[in-house]
Amino acid sequence: MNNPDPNHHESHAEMREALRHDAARIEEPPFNAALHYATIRQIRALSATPRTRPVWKWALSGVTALALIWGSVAVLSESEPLMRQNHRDGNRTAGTASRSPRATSWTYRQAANRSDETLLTLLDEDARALLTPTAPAFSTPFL
Amino acid sequence: MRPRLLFAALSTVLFLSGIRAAEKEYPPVNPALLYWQAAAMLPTLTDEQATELRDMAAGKLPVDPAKATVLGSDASIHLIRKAALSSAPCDWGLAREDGPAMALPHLSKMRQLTSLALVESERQFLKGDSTSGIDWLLVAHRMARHSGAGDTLISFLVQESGEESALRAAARHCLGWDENTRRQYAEKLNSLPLPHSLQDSYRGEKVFIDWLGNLSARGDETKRKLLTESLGSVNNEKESDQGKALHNLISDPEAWRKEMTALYDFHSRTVAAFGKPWKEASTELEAINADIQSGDVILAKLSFPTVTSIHDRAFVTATLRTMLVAALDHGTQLDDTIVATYHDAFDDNPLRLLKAEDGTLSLCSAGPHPKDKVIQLSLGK
Repeated sequence: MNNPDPNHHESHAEMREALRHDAARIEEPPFNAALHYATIRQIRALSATPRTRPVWKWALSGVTALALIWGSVAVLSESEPLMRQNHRDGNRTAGTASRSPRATSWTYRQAANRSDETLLTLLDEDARALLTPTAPAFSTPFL
Repeated sequence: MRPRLLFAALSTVLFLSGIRAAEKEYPPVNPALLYWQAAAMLPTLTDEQATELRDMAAGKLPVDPAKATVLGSDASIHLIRKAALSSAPCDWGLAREDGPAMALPHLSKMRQLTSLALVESERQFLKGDSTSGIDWLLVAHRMARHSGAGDTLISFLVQESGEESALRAAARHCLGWDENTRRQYAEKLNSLPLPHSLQDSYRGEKVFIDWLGNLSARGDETKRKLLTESLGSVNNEKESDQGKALHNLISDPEAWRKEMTALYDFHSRTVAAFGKPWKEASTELEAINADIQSGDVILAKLSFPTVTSIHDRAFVTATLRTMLVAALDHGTQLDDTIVATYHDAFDDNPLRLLKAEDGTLSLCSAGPHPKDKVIQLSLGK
């Protein structure tokens, strides 16, 4: 945006000259080495401090993490009936302990309809998948 | 005589008041809650360790005390015993209103915990401590019966499986016990609360029919959705004849009502059959099954359980129990004549004694029940 005043440039130069003149009149203090190094240390300390993350970035990270967890749960839930079907077909895999068993009356009844052994095998697999400990939360050393 | 009687009465009163005081301070806890605490403290087992636990409990593998310690934890063993000895009723808090979706997660854990109890029993016998070994056998029996609480067919089957494991474990050791020990074990076994009967357990299966009945008040889409969610892919097969029939049934309230009446009728007939002797009940169960297969009650075809094999299972356990009683009564004095005085639970046929070449004794059922199988209980290792 242009200044509409044609004398603006000239008046600005005059003011600048006056300021320089006033600055020259201020007496410069002698060099203080202690103050200099203290200031340098402060500047370095400031640069070493991690910058504060904006709130919106934290929020974005949180939403992304939640979306990933939700997606993983959805994928695992979808794969559970397939794993159950594999069991019905007799294809037992080594990793079955990590699935989430349904453990319902109907599921067990269908297994029992096949045979006692099918039911007991399914129960034994579920025993390892249910309530898996993640920490010795209830350790009682006095026993 | 009078001072003796007075002393006995006084002792009894003091003993009972002592028990009551203890129960007042620490009231007996619902065993189900204690079992869950024990389950929470179990270590995570690998496939191999889980198999070892089951094999040690079944006597297929000799108990290795070092391994046995790893398979459980002191805290879980302590709580298993406390739960089994609790005098409070065992209530698993089943959500019966969920019908087929009713969760039964405790049953798998109870199988694992019962195996631990049996391994603990074997560990005690290995140490030469028969008294503790026997106590742990009784704990296993009590656990099996607690598993049966809940009155469902699956609870019953888990109970029977636990009972059989405990009976077979006792049979492996009982010939090494003296007469007094055998008698004491038999008495303690008799004093335990009875196992849940098949008839009571099957009666509880009415929750399935009640759940289907409650669906009639729902809209067609909700009905279809709940059936699909609870019964899985069974009614998803719209292309099959059964799937089409079910599809039509959902949108026909009158037909649905008739199906419910038929379901309750099949259920009542089955409950009544389970109260009859084996042969009579088997004939009736086969007739019920034939009626379901040849009839047009879609929900019965979909939801009626295979009851004949479960029925046989109950009589297998009863026969094994009689065999163990024979062994406890006579120990090494068992011979063909004595054994023939005991009878199987199926046709009331006399039992037989088998002697293997290595001298191992077994008790066998006379008839090939069920389905060409001979029931056998090995005595000794």
